[in-house]
Amino acid sequence: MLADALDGTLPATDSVAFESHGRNCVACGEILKHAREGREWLAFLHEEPEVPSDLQARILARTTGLGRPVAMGIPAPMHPAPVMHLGAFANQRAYLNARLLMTAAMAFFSIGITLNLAGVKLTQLRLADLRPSSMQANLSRQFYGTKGQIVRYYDNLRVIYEVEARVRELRRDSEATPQSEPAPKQEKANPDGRARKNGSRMHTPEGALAGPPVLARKDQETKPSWWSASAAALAICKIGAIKGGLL
Amino acid sequence: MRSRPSNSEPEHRRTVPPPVAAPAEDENWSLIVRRCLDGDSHAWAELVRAHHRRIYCICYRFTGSPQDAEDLTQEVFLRIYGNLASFDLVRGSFKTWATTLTRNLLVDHFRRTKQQRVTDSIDAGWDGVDELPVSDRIADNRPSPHDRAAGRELQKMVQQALAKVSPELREAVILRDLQDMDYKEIAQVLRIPEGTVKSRISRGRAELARLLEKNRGQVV
Repeated sequence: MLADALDGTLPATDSVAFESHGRNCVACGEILKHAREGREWLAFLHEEPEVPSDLQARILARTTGLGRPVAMGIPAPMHPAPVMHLGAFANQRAYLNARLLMTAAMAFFSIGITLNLAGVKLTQLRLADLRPSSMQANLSRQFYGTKGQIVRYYDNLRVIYEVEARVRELRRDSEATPQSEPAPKQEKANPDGRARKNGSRMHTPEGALAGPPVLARKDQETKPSWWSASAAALAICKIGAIKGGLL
Repeated sequence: MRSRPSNSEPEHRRTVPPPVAAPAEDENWSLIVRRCLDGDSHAWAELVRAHHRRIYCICYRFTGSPQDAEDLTQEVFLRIYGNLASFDLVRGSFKTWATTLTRNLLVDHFRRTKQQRVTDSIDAGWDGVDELPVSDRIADNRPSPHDRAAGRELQKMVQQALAKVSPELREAVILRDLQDMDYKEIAQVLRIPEGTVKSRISRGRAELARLLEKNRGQVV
């Protein structure tokens, strides 16, 4: 009712009642006074603010890319108007978006890597290769070929480790035999097993915890001397076979 | 001494165009929109030429900043350009549709810059570097209260006070008192009932008057 009263659109009877109430009621009178004053203050803003002269050109440049101001009364150019497809601007912006370009590049590389792994060469691609049965056979061949290579690799590794272990074993055997003899001399030099300077430290006799491996001694006891020579020969044969690609 | 405008309507008030667009004008804009959609760049240029001042004015009165108003006006036309196919004359005139887009963008802008405004002092907006002190502006010693320079100063003062009015009241006041839209159009733009529109306009005017009165009381 207040807005209608200020607009002067209230019927005569309502207007009289409204004015009367505004004079008697303090709260309503205050609101009416402020609303009227505010409307009067706003009259100072009816004048249109100064619009930047190149605003229209900039809007046109950002939308259609034309960027030339079209003033009233200026005749249209003689050549036909360039066809503007609305939405083309948005599409152009989208395609130029760096994020989209990165996505496209990543998709391209992913497809390239997948094709490469699947053994598909685009330069040698034939129509017959695109049949499901051909693609399945190609994939199976790739899979079993890769699997075979992996199995061979680990078999070769196993043989090499076996040979290396055997060689280490032989070397240890050959080193253990001369070291086992001087043990009584050390025992004689320090028969009680105590340290000379620090009596609190406890030393065990040499050879009680360290010394030639028990298994080596056992092997030495149980296996004849020609066994070492034959094992070394076998190892050399295996290494030669691996290098020759037989295994 | 002039502390507030006179009760009589200012002269430029009478030059404002009629508030409601004629149906023929709506039809005309509908045809221009159709030409734009058919790919006529001259139709688009005509549409921009006819509406960019009004859109700029709304943005400027709402934000109080020429730079923000310029940027927002360009954004509004980009949005209009992208959504022109969704314009439907049955749901409202082109003017109402464009104003709705403008208002939505202004609300987004208001939310974006809320934190920035919170840090500003309440009275910071009144301290213009190249302006006269407020006491000089209110207590006008010049011979005529209708002097043009005084009018400009008062205009700045009212604009700054308007920028402090709460946004939901400010938008209603701007559309009614500065854009001369009728209540029905404003209700369409703000998507609220006409009664609420009237209430917001009255409250907005009263808030503006109170702000100006408070400022004058602090200075004088």
